Order: sequence, then C-alpha cells, then structure tokens
Amino acid sequence: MSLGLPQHLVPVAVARSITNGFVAAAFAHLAGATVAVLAMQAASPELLLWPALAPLAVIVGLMVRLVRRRTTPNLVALISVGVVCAYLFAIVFHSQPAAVEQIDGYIIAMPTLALMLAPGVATRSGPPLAASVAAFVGGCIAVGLSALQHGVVIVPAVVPIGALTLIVLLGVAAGRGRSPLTSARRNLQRAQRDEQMSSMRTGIELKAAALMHDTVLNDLASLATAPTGALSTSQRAQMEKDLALLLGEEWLSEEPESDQGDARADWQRSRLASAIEAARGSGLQVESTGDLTVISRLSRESAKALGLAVRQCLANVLQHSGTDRAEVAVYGTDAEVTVMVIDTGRGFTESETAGDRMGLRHSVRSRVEQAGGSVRLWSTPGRGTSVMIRVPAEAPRVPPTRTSRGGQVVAP
Amino acid sequence: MTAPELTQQQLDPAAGYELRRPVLLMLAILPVMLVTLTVVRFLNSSRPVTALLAIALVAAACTILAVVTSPSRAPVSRLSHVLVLALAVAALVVDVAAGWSTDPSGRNNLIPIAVGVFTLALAPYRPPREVAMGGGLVAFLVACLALVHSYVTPSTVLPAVHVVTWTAPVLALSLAAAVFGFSMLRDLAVWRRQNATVKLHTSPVVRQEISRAVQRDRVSIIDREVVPLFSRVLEQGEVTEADKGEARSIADSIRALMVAEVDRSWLESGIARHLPGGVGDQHPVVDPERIASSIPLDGRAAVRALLLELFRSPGFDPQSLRIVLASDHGRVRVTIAAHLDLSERAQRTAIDPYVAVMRVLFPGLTLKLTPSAIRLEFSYGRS
Repeated sequence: MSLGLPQHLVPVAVARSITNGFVAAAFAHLAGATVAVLAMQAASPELLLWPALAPLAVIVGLMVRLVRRRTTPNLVALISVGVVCAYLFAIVFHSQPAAVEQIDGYIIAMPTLALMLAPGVATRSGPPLAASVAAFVGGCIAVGLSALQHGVVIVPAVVPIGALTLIVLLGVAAGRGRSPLTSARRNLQRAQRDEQMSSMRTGIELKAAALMHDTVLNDLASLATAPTGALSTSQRAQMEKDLALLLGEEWLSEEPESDQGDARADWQRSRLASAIEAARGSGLQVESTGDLTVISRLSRESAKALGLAVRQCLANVLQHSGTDRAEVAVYGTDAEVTVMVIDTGRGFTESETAGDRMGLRHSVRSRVEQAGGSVRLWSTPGRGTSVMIRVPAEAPRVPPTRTSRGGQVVAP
Repeated sequence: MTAPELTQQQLDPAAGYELRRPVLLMLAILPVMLVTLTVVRFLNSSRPVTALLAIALVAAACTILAVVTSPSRAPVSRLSHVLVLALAVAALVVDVAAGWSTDPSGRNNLIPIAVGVFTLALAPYRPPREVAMGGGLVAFLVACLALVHSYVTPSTVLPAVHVVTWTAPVLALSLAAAVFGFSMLRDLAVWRRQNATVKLHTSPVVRQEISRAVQRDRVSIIDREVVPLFSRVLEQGEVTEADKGEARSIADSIRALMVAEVDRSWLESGIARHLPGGVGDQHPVVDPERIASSIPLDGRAAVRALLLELFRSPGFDPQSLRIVLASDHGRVRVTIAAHLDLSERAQRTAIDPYVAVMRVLFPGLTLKLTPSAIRLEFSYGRS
C-alpha cells in the first residue's frame, strides 16, 4: 500500500478521469436518444422519425474523432457541427405534431447534453469548459429555434442547466491545481520519503552496531579480560585487523555484485566456514555436522548474516560458556537453511542477562532478522546452550546430495 | 490492518478528502432541484404529503452521504452505498405514487437524476465495479417503475420513452462514475508499478550516503576512544591493569551509546528531531514494550505527517504531547494527545486530511476534539 499519487500528478489524473467519465456519459446519452428514436419509430410507423438517427451518427463520429485526438480543431468541429445536428434532431420531432406528443423534452435535449459532456475538463479551466458552455448555449438556441419554427411550446431546459452546473463544478474542482488541500498531500509524501530514509538508516545502524560489536567491542572485552603482561599474537593480530577494517574502508557499503559468486560458493569458501575456522583459531574445538552443501543455496545477504551470527555465537561460547567445545549443525529444506550452534557449557537465563549485552541481541538476532530469518535459543543453567538460526534459502536446483555417513558430515 | 478494497479512497487516501468538497457541492445542487420539485408537486399533486416524504428520503440520502464521506468516518462502507441507493429508490417509489394520475407525462420527475448524482458522488469511495453494478441495478428498478407509471397513468408519451427518460440519467451518471473510478485506479496502478516505494530502497546512491554518514559517526567514536588505547597497547606489546580498566570503561560507554541508539524507535527519533524546543526531561513517547517499530511504513508516514502538522500549528504546546503505545490481546493501541489552543473548527481544518488518511490505514480510529485539546486513538493487529 502507498499513500497515493504525488501531488503534482493529481490534477492531471483527476482531470483525465473526469473527462473519461464525461465522455462515457455523453455516449450513453446518444445511445439513449437512439433507443428512443427506434422505439418511437417502431411504435408509430406512420411517423418519419428515423432521419433523426443521421445527426446522432454525425455527433458520434465527431466524438470518436475527439476522443482519439483531443485537439482544439476537433473540439470546435464537434461543437459547431454538433449544434447544427442538435437542431436537425429537434426538427425531426417538432415538425410532426404527433411525435411531439409522444416525446419528452429530455430526449430532444440528449444531443445537446452529449455535446456539453464530451469536451470534458482540463487541469486548468479553459477550452473544454468554454466548449461545454458554448454547447449548452448553442444547443438551447438550436432546440428553441426549432420549437419556435414549428409552434411548439418551449419548456425550460432543466436537465441541461443541471448538467451545466455539474460540469462547471467538476471542471473548477479539477482545475484547482494549487488547492490548499494539496499541502497535506505534499506533507504526506514528504513524510513517506522521510520514513523510508529513516527505515533505511535504522537498518544500516543495526548493521553498524552488529559490526562494531563483532570487532571493537569483542576486542575491548578480550583486552579487559586478558592476563596482565605480554600481548598474545592472536590478540594483536585481531586488534590490528579490526582497526584496519573499521578505519580503512567503507565497511557499511554493500559489497559489489561481483561478490555474488563468492557468497554462493561452496562450503569451503562460505562465511559460515570462515566463522568456524576463526573460532578454531581462537582455541575453540568446533565440530560441524549435517548437510553442509545447502549453504550454497543462500543469497549473499543471508550467507553474510548467517556467517557473522554464527561467528558471534561461537565467540559467546568461548567467552561465556566455560567450555572449549561446540557443535555447528547445518540442515536445509527447500525454503530455508537452519544452523544450530550447540555447547554443553554452563548455560544461562536469557531474561537475566544485562540489558546492555548486545552480542545475542544485535550481532545474532537483529542481524538474522534483517536478512529475513529468525533465531531461537534454548539454554539451561548448568546444561548448555543451543541457538537455532534459520535463514531463507533458494529452492535447490538439483536434489540435495547426502554423504555416505548417514547424512552426517564431519569437517576435517 | 485489513486488505484494502480497490477504491480510490483506499489506494489514495488523501483523494477521499480532497474530492469531498466537490462531492458536497454536488449534493448541494440536489436541494435546489428538490425545492423546485416540491413546488411543482404541491401545485399538481393530490398527495402533497407523499411528495414531501419523497423529498425527505432524498434529503436523508444526501445527509448520509455527507456524513459517511467525512474524514473522521473514512472509509465509506458498502453498507452506506447500499443504504444511499435504497433510500433514493424508495424516494422514487414514493414520488411515483405521489405523481400518479396528476403528472401523466412524468416530465417533472427529477429523482432519477438525483439517483445518478448519488452514484457519481460515491465514485471516489467505492470500487468502480460495485458502482457500475449498483447503478445498473437501480437503473433496472427505475425502468420497471417507469413502465408501471406509464401503464397506471394514461399518457401520450410512449412507455419506451418514459423508460429512456428515467433511466438515462441513472445509467449515464453511473457509467461516468464507474469510468472515473477505473481511470483513477488505472493511473494509481501505473504509478505504483513504476514508482513503487521500493525504488528508494534500491537506490544505491541514497543507501551509500546514509552508510557513509553512519560510518562517519562510528569512526569518530573509534578515533576518539579506541584508537589511542589500541595504539598504545600494540606499541608497548603488553597489557597493564590500567589498560584493562580503560578497555572495560570504553566498552561500557560504547555499548551504552549503541544500545541507546539502536533502541530508539523511529517515533522517538522523529519527535526528537522535529519537536519545537526539543524533548525535555520527560520524553513524549511512552512505549515500554518497544512496539513502535510494528507500525507499518505507511502508517508511520501518516503519523509523522500528522505530528509535523501539529508541531506547525499555532497554539500547539510541545510539553503537552503524549504518545502512548500499548499491546492489548494481539493488537497495538496508540493514543496521541496534545493541547492545541485553537477552535475546534480550526483544529479540524488542520488535521482532517491526515485523519482521513489514517482512518483508511487504521480503521476504527477515533478523534476527540475540544477547544483546547486533541486526542486521537487507533489500533492495529500485530503481524
């Protein structure tokens, strides 16, 4: 859903739609006049009414021409020739007293009504409105002249007057290009734009928060808990790497499309495998099991989110679980890839963790949810923790293959 | 939020408000016609009371239309459509009864035109297909009434002419209304297809600009706090107790900053940015469950536009603003209240367009205005 057309398109769209509606009403009136003529001719064969169809046909032709090419000459031709046709239409009835008794003034006025409606409206009240007024005046004079010539009583043109009022009203409404009401629409459009920007910024901030957590905050935490004395080689390497990453390049920018191939690459080159390797480098013994080939079905975004989230889960195991062993299990269905990170450490109660602990909240949960996935966590104090991460996947192009070890792949 | 109907009002909620003025003017023409009719009926009818009843029924239909198209009652329901047409047909039945034997020509019958005007007035508010079907059905009933009238009341005018005279305005105006609606919906569909909101999301330039701005903010924190510590530790090649304490302290402050930033909702950010005089000690947004993010994007835009309009209004007291969000049985209830030292009429003029839009996005929205305060409540289901 959206909040509608932008302000600058509204007058054009409204004027075009009103014009289309008016043209439809004009054709309906000509159809009504045709039906009335045919019905009267059938009911009174002694009368000569069928010639009234000729001026109606001429008006239809001119209207079709105007609809196809809405130009001033076509409009002038419709009104000028159309008024003559309205006169000829009226004269067919007025010249036969028996016909006058059988007909209604509304039927006689139908060609005039069609001429008044066909010009439609414009975004600025101009030629179409003037043409409708000209059609009204011309049509009334034509019908009145015909009545006078044949001694028929002239009745007030109530319906054409009502129709003219309606046309002027809607014509003026459509022509109000700078109505004060449009400021509200402008404000709504602006708010919608701001909201989209805000939403985009929120997503990028979440991504930044997760990255900051994975790098600087992890490094700071590692430093704060490091034994006093010489800086370890791995710690030095990690700090240098993270500083270079955060200060050196545009780490929040999207990766170029050419990276797509890397993201879809096989298990060995996947971000998930890199995360596991990084955890092993930090001293954690990680066993990866399951159908590892499903990783190749992840989009770049999902693969990245999954890899970084698992990296954070393994960092949590290392820092908080009190064990140096963890298992990463990978499963896939047609619609999603599921990864479970399991440890048998000391466990915890999620609701009791401090509100400012961001690892699970942003580096895992927010990041995966941003990629359209979900995270579930089971943890029992003293018995360990399992984190289940689900991310959307593309349907497999070929049936997934299983290994000869009963679906279990143990990484080297 | 429920799936919107295919009406101009639902797909372009501001249009429902913008087109209301011409709709009301159209309806205003009807009393003029009806007064004329009343005079004629009183002069010619042997049943003036019946004639008056017909007028009353048309007036009732006019009133219902004027009420249901009001911004605070948007969107217009199918029931309102049916009710208006039913009253109009009833008026025609009563009017025909009033004119029997005294108005053989049926020439003064303006009620079919009124029926057509009602259909036209409903065009922005109901689906074009429904408008066309409603108009067609009413035209059929009108044709039947015309036939009944011509057989009951002897007349020189042919029954077929009666039928054409009475049904033409209904059919022509219903057709015009349906074509208008289809045309507007087509334009809206083209616009949405070509310029959908996703365009901004996919704009790499905008995304890159925002990414750079966010990164600049983060890098300035790292430069200020982290780089000096890391540089020192890397240079000295060892970790001291002082370094560990400093690392803990920096980590806590960065974490607190990031939590506050990430936890701040779009509503809190928007208000902090635009509220005249800024946010004081007590934040106007009360959202203990952090559910502001569950408001859909269009709803957020409408709320943001309404708040900006309030902030701009003379007589708005920034300190009085309170926005409360609370969940209730799977739904989120939002209350916006503020002091607005304006007359009720001036308040309506300022906020009606936004209320009209929000009523479409959040059916059931209620608005209470007093000369010095405004209170708006709405709810929606959490997806």
